[in-house]
Amino acid sequence: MNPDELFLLVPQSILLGAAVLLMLMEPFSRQAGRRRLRMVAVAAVAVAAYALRLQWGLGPRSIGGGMIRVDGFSLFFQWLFLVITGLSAVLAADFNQREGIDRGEYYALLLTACSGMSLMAMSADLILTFIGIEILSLSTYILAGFKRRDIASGESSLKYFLLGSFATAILLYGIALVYGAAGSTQYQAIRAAAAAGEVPALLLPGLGLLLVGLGFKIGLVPFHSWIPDVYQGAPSPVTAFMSVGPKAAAIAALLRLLVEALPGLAPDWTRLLWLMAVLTMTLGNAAALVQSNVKRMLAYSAIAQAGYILVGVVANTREGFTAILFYLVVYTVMNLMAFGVVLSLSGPGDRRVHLEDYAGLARRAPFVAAALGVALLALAGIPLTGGFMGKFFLFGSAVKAGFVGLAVIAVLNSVLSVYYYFRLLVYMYMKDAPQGGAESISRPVGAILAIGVFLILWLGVGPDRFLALAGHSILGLK
Amino acid sequence: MNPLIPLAVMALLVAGIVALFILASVFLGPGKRHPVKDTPFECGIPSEGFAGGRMHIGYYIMAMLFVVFDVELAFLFPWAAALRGLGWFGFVAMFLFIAVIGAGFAYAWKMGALEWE
Repeated sequence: MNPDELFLLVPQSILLGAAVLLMLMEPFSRQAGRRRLRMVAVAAVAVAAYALRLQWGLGPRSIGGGMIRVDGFSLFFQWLFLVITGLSAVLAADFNQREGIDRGEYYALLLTACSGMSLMAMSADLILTFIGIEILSLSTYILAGFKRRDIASGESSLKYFLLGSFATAILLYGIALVYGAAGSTQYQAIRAAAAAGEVPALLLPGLGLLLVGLGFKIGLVPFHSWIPDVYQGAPSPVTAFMSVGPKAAAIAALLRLLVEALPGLAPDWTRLLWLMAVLTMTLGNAAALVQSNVKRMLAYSAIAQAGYILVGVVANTREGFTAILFYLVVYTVMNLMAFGVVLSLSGPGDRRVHLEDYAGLARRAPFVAAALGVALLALAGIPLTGGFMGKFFLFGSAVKAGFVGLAVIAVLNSVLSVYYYFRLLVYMYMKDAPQGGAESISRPVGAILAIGVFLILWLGVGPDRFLALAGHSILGLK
Repeated sequence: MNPLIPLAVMALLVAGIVALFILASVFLGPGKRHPVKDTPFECGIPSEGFAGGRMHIGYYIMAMLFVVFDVELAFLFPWAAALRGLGWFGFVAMFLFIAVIGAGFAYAWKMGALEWE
């Protein structure tokens, strides 16, 4: 590697260096004040984001012998992951202090997870994709069980670990089969092998197994069963992170794999993903209807949202991929907002997460209720919110690509989802509080909620600039 | 000739030889039963306790640390042999790797992972 190539990896190096530093800060400066931990984490994210900014406009290039792609697509996702990680660290700070888990390792693991996600978006080689997934997974396995004394947190971590390693094994099997068929793990070589005359027979089962592994990470039905239990049991800030970060990373990896390595098999994987999208949306929404635990409801909602995003993959057009990137930004904002409220209100022991606990919230904390309300409206896809625009672009791309049936099913599913998002609104605005205690929300979380409300309305009214950015980022994907 | 035929012959030979040895020991062996012979083989030491029993958590942490440093050594040997070809880049890369592992070691030490109790 020459210095020019190393320069492109500076953001990753900053993240990992800060992670090691945070890990060492825990035992070596125990009295140094807890504030410093999150400040180091946020500073690392900010510096990495600045280093990333310097790469803007350099044009697409491959480094590491073609293993790593640095283009608009990977820059977009790296930027998204940095935002997610920074916000997760801020959201977690007060919660962690309340629960007594404000430790350096927490932030160190967030940063390593971020670098794993970035590798997944940059990778143009199955081996590197696998390593990225593993870095991300190992970090989130531990984060899910970070509240060691809490039995639900431990259960969440163990379930995630056992099912996750099984899914990883299947993914590896898929990599082995694709390697056997194409003779290489590099995306361009796989593409060439599939394009040269007949498609090798082993490529199809390989594609299927890869879809199982990535589908597990995204949470696609039928590989979704871990999501409700893990999301419910994990500490709320970790759930917030897991519901946006790893999902977006797995979708980035899926897009790169399907579009760059396996465009020759497009008829096969669009048919497969069509079915999975329908199942994912329908099952996620149907199960969310009957949840009384808000975290579990948001978990099923996250499954359903993954189904909507998949509509853009099935469309398999530039517009579809642009819509996915746009929707991922919106989804990140609205989900982090919803979980930001949940983790602020969950009270000692992270226990107050039932629908009844939100009764009369509009009277006790009008601003918090309004912010959660906007997030829920956006998740439901009500016009004037970014959620509506995102869904409009996603389903519109499917119609243009000729998948009218899929778009109709997706719209029907959105209608269905309104029921459970609005039920929470009804609890907040139309029910009386059992006891009228005022809710306190920390200042950083309040600031994030305010910015979130602004962003959701902005994306809903004037999405052009973000859409143009997403459209520009997708040019690298080819 | 079908390339799978040698494979089939090989599989038949393996199965035949294994079956031959097992059958030979069944028919030719004295077949005396003894409590000691029925216990699982434990390197010659009398086995004790149950397989599903509880283990001290210290074993787990020690084993994990051992694996980490074992893997580090597995990297170090080929690196040392190929250092001349790798040049300064390989030298710096390896020391970065060792520094990260060293940081992990310092963390584990300071957190008390090496204390038995």
